[in-house]
Amino acid sequence: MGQDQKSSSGQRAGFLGTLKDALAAASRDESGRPKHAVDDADEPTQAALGEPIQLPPPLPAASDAPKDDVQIGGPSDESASPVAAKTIGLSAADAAREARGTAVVTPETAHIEQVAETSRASVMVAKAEDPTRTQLVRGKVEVARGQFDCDPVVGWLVVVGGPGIGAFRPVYEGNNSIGRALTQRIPIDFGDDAISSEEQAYIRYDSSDRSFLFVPNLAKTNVVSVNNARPTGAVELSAMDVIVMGRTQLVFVPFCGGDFDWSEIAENKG
Amino acid sequence: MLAFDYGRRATQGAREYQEDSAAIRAGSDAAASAEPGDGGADHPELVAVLADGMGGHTGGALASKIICEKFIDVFGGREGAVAERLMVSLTAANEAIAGKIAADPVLSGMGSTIVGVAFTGNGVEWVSVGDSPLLLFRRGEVALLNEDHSLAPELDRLAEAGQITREQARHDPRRHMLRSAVTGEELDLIDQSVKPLVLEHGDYVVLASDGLHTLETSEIERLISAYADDGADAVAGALIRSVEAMRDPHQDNATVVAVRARDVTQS
Repeated sequence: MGQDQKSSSGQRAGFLGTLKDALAAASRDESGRPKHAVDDADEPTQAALGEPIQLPPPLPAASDAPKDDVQIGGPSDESASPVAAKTIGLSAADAAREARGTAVVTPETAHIEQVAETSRASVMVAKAEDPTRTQLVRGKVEVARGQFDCDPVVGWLVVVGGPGIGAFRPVYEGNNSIGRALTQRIPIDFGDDAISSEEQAYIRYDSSDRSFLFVPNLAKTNVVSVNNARPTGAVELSAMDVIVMGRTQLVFVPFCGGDFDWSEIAENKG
Repeated sequence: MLAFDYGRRATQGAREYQEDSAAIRAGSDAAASAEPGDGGADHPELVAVLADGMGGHTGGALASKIICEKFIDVFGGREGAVAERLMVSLTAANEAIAGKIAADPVLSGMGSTIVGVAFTGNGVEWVSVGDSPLLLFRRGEVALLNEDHSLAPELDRLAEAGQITREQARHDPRRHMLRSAVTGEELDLIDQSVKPLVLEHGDYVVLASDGLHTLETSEIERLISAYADDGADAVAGALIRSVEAMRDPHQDNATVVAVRARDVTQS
């Protein structure tokens, strides 16, 4: 019995090893193939114990069952099939392994950092309208500059307290009206009715001096504050300033400023 | 001597568009425009290509069509080692996409997987980019021949390492996302056979788009076994019927090209 060997090849074989196990598990009882030791038996110790394995052997690449389940499968006797013994042919999995070889052509270093890949993929998922569609996460995207399909973002307001906590709103170039209504350029529409529906305040970004200004609308009765002060006129905003309107706390995060402005790439590389 | 017959079937699934394409050429006799469901007589040589397109409304369907046509065309027009012809055809297909996008930037972002397979007297050789599975059926068992360039193997690896649960890996929508595809840009990952896989009488090689993953491998084995004697067209038909019978509300496009190897000197 090969199952006692527990050779180190069990891990190295990757999915082919587990596939082979699964294939054997699926067919061994019917085929009555002899279970003798083979050179690289890579099943776990309990593999050949009697009971038939019900688990369907999944396609390793994309089916649902995880590999560990498959590994409880039966013996991986690649040469054990009676048919195979007669015809001296390779099993499907062995033939596959032989033709695949070990090398895969990789124009660049193929392996992907787990963390990097995951985070990048999650960004893509957020944008995908239908995640089950075939999409590409990797590879270079053609970069077109100089023309925008939508207003370029210059910063963000992040809701850190009150209704909508955790959400964010983009701040665009030019003048941005802030209010509860969806018609506002920065709609704070999370259900805080202590915010005026329209033009409670403005945030202006001026790309010529790359500064952000917060301008309260003094015609509104609701009061706004920036860093606990109650401005009666325009105040300059800097990173991580806290704006309170109604029962909502917002933190300002600039994207453009001294280090970057859209005009840079539009002028230089556009 | 082994000869090959083939069958091709497709289903649109629950999608608005059919973005898969497939083409087959037998010897010099172009069957690239063959209709789905066509059977093939015994051919000494075949080249088959299948592509699963992506990218917007018509982009995906267009990309997979361009890739299949270009691949078949270039492969048929060249002499030399099969492995080299496969690579040259892949490169040409990729360049065809780049050219199309350059001519019409609206199509930017379209792309496709590809699995291109050559059947000759030496055996089966392939080149593959993306996650369209290439399966070998032999004596009741199915094995995956090409490498999966989707995130599914990465997710499974994360699950194995205990960083996510198996349940999360199984249902993660990122399973379908690709690490490499034919987009006209440099190809990130290419899987190619290292040497020809020698076929035996009765073997089936199946090119599929990932919509076939609706079926468990055991079910695929069962179906091919059951229809093996009826020929490649029957096998292709059975696989697609079975995918349709699952009635998955999110069923992706599914296309299969089944190729049977038959020893014609025996029969």
